[in-house]
Amino acid sequence: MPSTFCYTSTVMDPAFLAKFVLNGLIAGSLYAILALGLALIYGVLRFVNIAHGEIAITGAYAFYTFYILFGWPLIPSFFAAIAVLFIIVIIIEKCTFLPVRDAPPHIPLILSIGISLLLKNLLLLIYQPYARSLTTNVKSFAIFSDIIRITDIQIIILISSVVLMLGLWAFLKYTRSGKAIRAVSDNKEVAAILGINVNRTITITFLVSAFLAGTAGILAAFDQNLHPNLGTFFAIKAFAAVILGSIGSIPGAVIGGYIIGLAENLLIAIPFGNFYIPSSYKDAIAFFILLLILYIKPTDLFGKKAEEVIRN
Amino acid sequence: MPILKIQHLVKRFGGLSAINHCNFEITENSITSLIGPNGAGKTTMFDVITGLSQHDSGEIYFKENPIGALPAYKRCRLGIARTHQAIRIFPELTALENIMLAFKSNKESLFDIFTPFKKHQKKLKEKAFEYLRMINLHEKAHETAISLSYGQQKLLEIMRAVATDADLFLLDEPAAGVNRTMLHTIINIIKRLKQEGKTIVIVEHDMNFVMDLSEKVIVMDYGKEIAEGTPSEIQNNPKVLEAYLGVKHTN
Amino acid sequence: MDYFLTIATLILIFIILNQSYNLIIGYTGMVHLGHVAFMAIGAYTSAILTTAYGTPFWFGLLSGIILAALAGLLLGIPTVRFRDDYLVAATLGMGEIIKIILINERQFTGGSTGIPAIAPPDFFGLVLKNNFYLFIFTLVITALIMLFVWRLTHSPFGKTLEAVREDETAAKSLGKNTNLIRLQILIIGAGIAGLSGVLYAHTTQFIDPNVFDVHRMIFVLLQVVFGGSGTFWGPVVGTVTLFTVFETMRFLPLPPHIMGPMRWIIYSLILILIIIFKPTGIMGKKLVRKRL
Repeated sequence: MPSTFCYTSTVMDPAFLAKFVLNGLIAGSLYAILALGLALIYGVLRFVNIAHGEIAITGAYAFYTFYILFGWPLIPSFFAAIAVLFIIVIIIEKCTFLPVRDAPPHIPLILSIGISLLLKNLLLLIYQPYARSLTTNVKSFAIFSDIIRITDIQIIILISSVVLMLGLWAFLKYTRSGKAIRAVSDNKEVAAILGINVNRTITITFLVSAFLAGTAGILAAFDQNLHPNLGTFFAIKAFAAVILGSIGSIPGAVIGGYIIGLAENLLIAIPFGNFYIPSSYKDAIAFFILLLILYIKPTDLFGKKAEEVIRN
Repeated sequence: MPILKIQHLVKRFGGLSAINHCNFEITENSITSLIGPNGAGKTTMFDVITGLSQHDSGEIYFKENPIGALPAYKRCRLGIARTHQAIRIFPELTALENIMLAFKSNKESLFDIFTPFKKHQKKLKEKAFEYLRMINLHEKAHETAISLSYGQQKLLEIMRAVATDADLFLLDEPAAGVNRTMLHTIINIIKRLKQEGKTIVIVEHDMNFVMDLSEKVIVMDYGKEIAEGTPSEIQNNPKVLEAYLGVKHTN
Repeated sequence: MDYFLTIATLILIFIILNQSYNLIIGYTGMVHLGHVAFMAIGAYTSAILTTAYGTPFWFGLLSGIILAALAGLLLGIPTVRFRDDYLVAATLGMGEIIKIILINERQFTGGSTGIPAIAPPDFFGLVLKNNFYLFIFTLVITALIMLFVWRLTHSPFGKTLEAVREDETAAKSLGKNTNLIRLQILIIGAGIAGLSGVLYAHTTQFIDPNVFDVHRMIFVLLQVVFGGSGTFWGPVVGTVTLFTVFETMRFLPLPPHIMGPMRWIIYSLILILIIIFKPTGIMGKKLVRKRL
């Protein structure tokens, strides 16, 4: 999410707006990928994994370690980072979430809060609270006849996001593990009766979610500087996206992600009469939108009837 | 006057009609059973009547008044009590506390904490003890509800409903999973409710239970009432037999 | 001596805060992650009124409590209907939004630098500058709050809170207006949190937005869960134990950039361990995990 802009024009011209739309799409892509990972965990375990943002950042730091600190090439760094992330997530899953599998849902929720704290502070301890940059030479391209500029990183983010989304869709629809995840999300007991290994499916879900989070984290780290506090930032946007798009819904997570990404970037660019929302409020926009929609319309974006969405 | 009237009731879940233009009436001070194959919409019917689930169209009349627009808690205050298929007691509260929460004269508003409630509570406690005595749980009054056996929890939930002093009781599978002694106790509770002028509607699969106890039986299938009548009329009704593909006598 | 008095006063203030949170999460079962925002509202209201507008302490105190309670009402109305996961997400955001507002509205709140030189509490001329008097004053207020919480949780209303926590559907079937009950306890909890905020501001005599961030919220959560959510003494045990642990860690001979994360690592491990092995907390009952 590119940092604050300096806008001198007070007239809304298309090039001006287009820049914000682009930023919105970039941010939205990252949020969508994050939200997907969150939605998957919610589907099988029925709780919001607060540690999701930290998992994304842990992946980014792992990548940073291999790519910058060890100097490995790009692709091996990526896979090494994901492998390390997988090991960490499996340890977390087996040691903490598995023992409380049958507890009421607020237990894993609080647990994930503890884990997010643990991960974040381990990162702070190891990597210190300095912003780190993953790349120094950014190639930027002009598109739409020089009206807006887009960097190579941003192109990669957009393409990767689409690839990941399609990949996830295919995985869920066509592979055995993917179908198992869908079955367990739908009804754990029935899935078990049908012979699906529920524990293994849950572990796989964690891994897929971590893969999505880690990749989003790595992509984001290229676009902006890496800092241990980024995890909380990501987590909040991802939740807002997931809730907005109807919790547990896969397509909803994607749509929610893009809505937040676009809204964040556009709402600070659009004049409301003479008034501009200050760009420092950008981070709050996600939640303002969420609270506004939840307040006005007690059903979520997909129009689920009130008592099925809200407490019963 | 029919204490409960359902007209053209519809409830959909996604594309499926769980209740499909259902109509029936329940006479006051009667014992009626609601039966039907699994998935017929019986528990959904209870959910919709009590307001835990919102119906999509149709009317619900309680004592001739439409209650469809009322939230669940208001409908219950009007005099409808309900037990659930999956037992819904308050697990970490004691048996006594479970019963006491049912009393309508509980001084449980927020502002009541500023008024003296000890004497009033004492009287309610004694009353609650009596209710527990009726189901032989008075010795376990101070144990948490979750530590009771399945059957005891079931009795507790039923007694808690009785303690609300409602006029209409909706019992969802009260006989499921209980042994003969407890079944006997439950039957006595129902008979006593009838004596006190209450109305009882029971959803059940245990056909002996249904046929022995009910004055009227309503059969549902695919969300719609398909037959109504006395137990013997229903037993010989070809539509009913068809719906069940052979009436089962459990126990 | 002064140092210990200040620590003791702070512990009391957080006992008040945590008892109010316990009402919401422990007794009523609402996993609410925006509680510290109410403390912030109380603190900032009183700080602004007394420093920028020169109002007397008692006015700042009352305004802080009332505004915090009002915030509880406004933020509560839409969210009490939400189920757990939605509630968590919405309230997590609330905390963040409040913090961002506090940082941005510089002319009122002093931005990230905060509000310095807040006067200690005074009662029509009797200024509580002495740490001992401040401690006694806070002790009295803490005792009053504890009495109030005791009365509330042992009343029939208190039982309806637990009924809502245990099984909301059953509570509705018994005619309880569960949304109203939740809203009421949220307002009360918010008001008490506001009170703790006012006391905090006038005791430490300096506040900034970082005091009321998500870390503080997690402290509160940990102290209540560790001590025993849903029990009367749980928040007291949790606050005293963990606050002491946290403060003593300050004296370890570690450089700050190591010690900061270390404290949090220890904290998070405590939270993780207690949730896995004794989720009901130190003062909580042994769990009979035989749910139907």
